[in-house]
Amino acid sequence: MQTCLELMQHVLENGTERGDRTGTGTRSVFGHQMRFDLAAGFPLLTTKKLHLKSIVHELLWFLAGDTNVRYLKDNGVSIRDEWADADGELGPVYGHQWRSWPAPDGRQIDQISGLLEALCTNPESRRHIVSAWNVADVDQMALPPCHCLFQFYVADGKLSCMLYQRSADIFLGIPFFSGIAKWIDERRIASNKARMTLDA
Amino acid sequence: MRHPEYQYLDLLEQVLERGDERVDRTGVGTRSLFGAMVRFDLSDGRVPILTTKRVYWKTAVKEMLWFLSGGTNIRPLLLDNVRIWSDWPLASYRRETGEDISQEAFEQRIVDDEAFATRWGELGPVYGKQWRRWMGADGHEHDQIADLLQSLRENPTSRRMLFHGWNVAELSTMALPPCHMVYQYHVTSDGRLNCLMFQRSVDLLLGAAFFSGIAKWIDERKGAVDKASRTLIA
Repeated sequence: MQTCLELMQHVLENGTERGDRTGTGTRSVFGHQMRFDLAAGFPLLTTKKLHLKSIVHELLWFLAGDTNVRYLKDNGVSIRDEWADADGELGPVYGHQWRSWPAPDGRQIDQISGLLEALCTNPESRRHIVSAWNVADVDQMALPPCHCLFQFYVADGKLSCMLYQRSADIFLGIPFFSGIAKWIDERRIASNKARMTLDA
Repeated sequence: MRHPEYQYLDLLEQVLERGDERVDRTGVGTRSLFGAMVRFDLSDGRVPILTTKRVYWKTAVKEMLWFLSGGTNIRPLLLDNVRIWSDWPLASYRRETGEDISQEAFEQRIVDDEAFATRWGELGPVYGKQWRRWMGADGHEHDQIADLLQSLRENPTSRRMLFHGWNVAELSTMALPPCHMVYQYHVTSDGRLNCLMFQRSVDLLLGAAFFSGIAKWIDERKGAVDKASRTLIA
């Protein structure tokens, strides 16, 4: 918790003021890193209200490979509505790249399945990576991915996760959405599945 | 203030003290840490090349220029006396022909015989290819470096100034999947340029730390600025 508050203080004191794409104006710092010990619990922010349901449903929606807001709407989650087209489509965003990254030869690559398999069969790999930044598809996405990629690491039977986010709105909530809660969920779901597969 | 190089020395010490011991793909065995980060102040022309070990910085510069030119064949490197990428083509040549050729002899053939280099000197769609000619599912190619330079000039407050080497569709045909896989840039309101490089894996002792992590990153940063300013002046 303190980590997030310190980041805000840091931005306030040392951030550079800039105009931006949205015309809002920002104060920003570059290349900040935060760490959370997930063995000690789930680092949801407590100094502002979090819509936990949105976080969980959005993550499940990503993992299902879905790119249409219908599922989110059906579950009372409206965070992506403003970018969707008339049919609810967002383009080849996160879910599409995670589960069916398109190749020039027509293959569709399921990075999540690949990750889970590698976590089980080759845990010491230095290639446990899922990326959503498909350069060729970025222009067709409603929004280019903010949390561009994540990497897993197994040591001593414990799973670590690192999430790379190119941009995050610290006040409006991206830090907890994408940067923290989602990351943890992701990590947990992956580790549960990995365990299940190991047991099976 | 402590010298910035202590970040590297401290990291080595941390790995030694609490790194996880593990066997790896190469069978060598490693001691590793996850998610470390180092920062260097590059203002006033500073270049943080390590001083506690010998750094082949000219090799790093030549490799960087090769990346930026979109190169994926080792011949231009060898013509410049850079031998760091020879291992992989050499191994596949030995494997496929059964010929027990020495590295020196193999490299000489690459240099002497352009057709041989075309056949045996290729590394697959590695860095240079992805940076300059990332191919989409529709066959269209994207020049990420050109896009980055354009954005640095025309839209410096963009939060999308990055280029990636991790093309999921082509990983299996690369000699090695990219280690330094994402570069992102940020321009402050007073015109200073920041660069962040994400590296999924690095051999701290053997030198990827300075090659990829430090010298290269700086060179790139400088190269991009110089190019950007040159183009602005032109």
